[in-house]
Amino acid sequence: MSKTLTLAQPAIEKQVRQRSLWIDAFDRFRRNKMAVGSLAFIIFVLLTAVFGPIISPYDPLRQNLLDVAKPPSMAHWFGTDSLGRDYLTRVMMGGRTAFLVAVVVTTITTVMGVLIGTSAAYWGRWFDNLIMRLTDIIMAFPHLLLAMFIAGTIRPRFLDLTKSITWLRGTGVADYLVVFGALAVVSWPGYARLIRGQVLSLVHSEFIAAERMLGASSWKIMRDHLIPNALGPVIVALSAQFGGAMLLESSLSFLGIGIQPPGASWGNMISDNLLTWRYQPHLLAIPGIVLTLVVLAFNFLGDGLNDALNPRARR
Amino acid sequence: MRLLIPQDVNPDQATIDRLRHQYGLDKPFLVQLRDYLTNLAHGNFGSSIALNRPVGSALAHALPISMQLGLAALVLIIIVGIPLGVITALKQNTWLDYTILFGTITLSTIPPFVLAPLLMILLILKLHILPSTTGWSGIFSVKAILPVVTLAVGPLLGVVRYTRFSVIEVLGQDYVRTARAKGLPMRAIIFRHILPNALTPVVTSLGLTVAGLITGSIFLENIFGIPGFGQLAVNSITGNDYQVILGTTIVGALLVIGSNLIVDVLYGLLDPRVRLQ
Repeated sequence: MSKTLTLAQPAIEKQVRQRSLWIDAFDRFRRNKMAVGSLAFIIFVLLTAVFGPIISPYDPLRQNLLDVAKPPSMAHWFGTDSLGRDYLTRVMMGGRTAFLVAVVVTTITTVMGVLIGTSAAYWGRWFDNLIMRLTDIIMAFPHLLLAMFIAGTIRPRFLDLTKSITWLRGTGVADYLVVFGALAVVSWPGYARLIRGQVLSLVHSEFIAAERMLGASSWKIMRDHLIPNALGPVIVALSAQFGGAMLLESSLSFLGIGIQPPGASWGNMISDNLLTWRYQPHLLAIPGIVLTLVVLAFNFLGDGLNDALNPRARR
Repeated sequence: MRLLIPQDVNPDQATIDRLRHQYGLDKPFLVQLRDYLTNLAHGNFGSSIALNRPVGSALAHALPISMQLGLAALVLIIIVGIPLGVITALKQNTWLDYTILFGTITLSTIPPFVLAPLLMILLILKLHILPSTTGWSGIFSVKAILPVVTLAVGPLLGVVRYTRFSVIEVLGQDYVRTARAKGLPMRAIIFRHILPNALTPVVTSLGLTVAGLITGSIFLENIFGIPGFGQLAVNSITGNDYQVILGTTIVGALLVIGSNLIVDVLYGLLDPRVRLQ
């Protein structure tokens, strides 16, 4: 009896020791059905957004005025819009916009947030003060109002700029650039503050002091110790940021200052069909429901990641 | 200046120069900035180009309407959100708790510009409960029901969560255990001992809803055709009416800062422990 125990124990210990923090987190995440389901849904929508318009027999811009505002049918699964365009293809194009904006904006804000937040916390003093007051100012404005303000003021100038570049003319690239810029400006402060808080709690820990005493450069300490250790909450925030960027993009497009027709965005599809809601409610409801489901999925994914990566914060 | 002139109008240079001078756009940038800030300090927001009236008066006309909407939504949030929060806390980790939390999370995730049309389709088109509602005829008319309800939904989640958290914390306190040990009925414990202590922090979360209410009003006033702050803000941006853009953005920020300040002061009044020495 005692012999088998002594034999078995080292084997278990060995196995336990090999499990890294990340594998542990992955295991915890896998057990959360809601989060896994959300992830699957997000991947599904992403795939349809990327490949759907290619597979679809309809051109998202091709108008067919004989087939205007048809309810869903076998030929057009989501029906057709008021210009006779296949609505399913339009919704998938809207998905492209949403994911493109989310990926670009999240990348910009993450890079900005990590760089600015880490350096603010690391160097402290006046630099920290400056950055924190700057974020205070930006965060004092309601997010949407500030994004509207920025998009509204830089839009005309950007349009002028792209008009002078021949290959950009009429492509709608300017709309995307305006949205990227506006969303990045309103989103980075939250990120930078989060990272700063994380790094501040690490900077004064003993292993950083030891590293510094061993003569490591600031850059090496940041890269090898501060950023990896602050990564958990950042990944969680990433998921929320993704959903948030999609929501803001749709909001701006809904208000007519984001993506402009004929470009497709779930936001401008809703506002385009607002006046005819009595006669074609499905045109209004479909993009709204898709947008809500995707944002909801990102929220559940974020919750799942939070439980997996920050086990100490669990209720 | 070119941005403000419709494309089919081709004014001559003299007209452009005259208009530039009239709006002070021929002065150097720094002088313009100084003038704007000086006027702002005197409460003068400049004048709207599209509306041909001072921005201040446009705001004075639009803000009260949005304030009424916002206050009505806030009242709704308080009478729905706090009881829901208390229920979830008392029935912690039961199906009721999960259902309420899940429901509020889902509802709050639906952006106002999706929720409002969906409610319109459901309540007006399918169920015929409400008459068609666009326009503005006072807060106590049927037309205000949908905007207020939709406006209240977004910030509801925060208040429910905050109340739940704070009641759960108070439930674990010694004085609640004492009250229970004395054999007080649950109703008395809830109303005399738990609520007064738990609701103080909830005031903070109510202050934080102001930003959400402003954002919501931007969408809802456009959907329902209400001539308030949100509509003014959007129209100014789509019309390049930059004085109004500046004015609405600044007022939006002032509202958020002001509500945070009020919350801080109220918090000190309600809870002597957090007062500054």
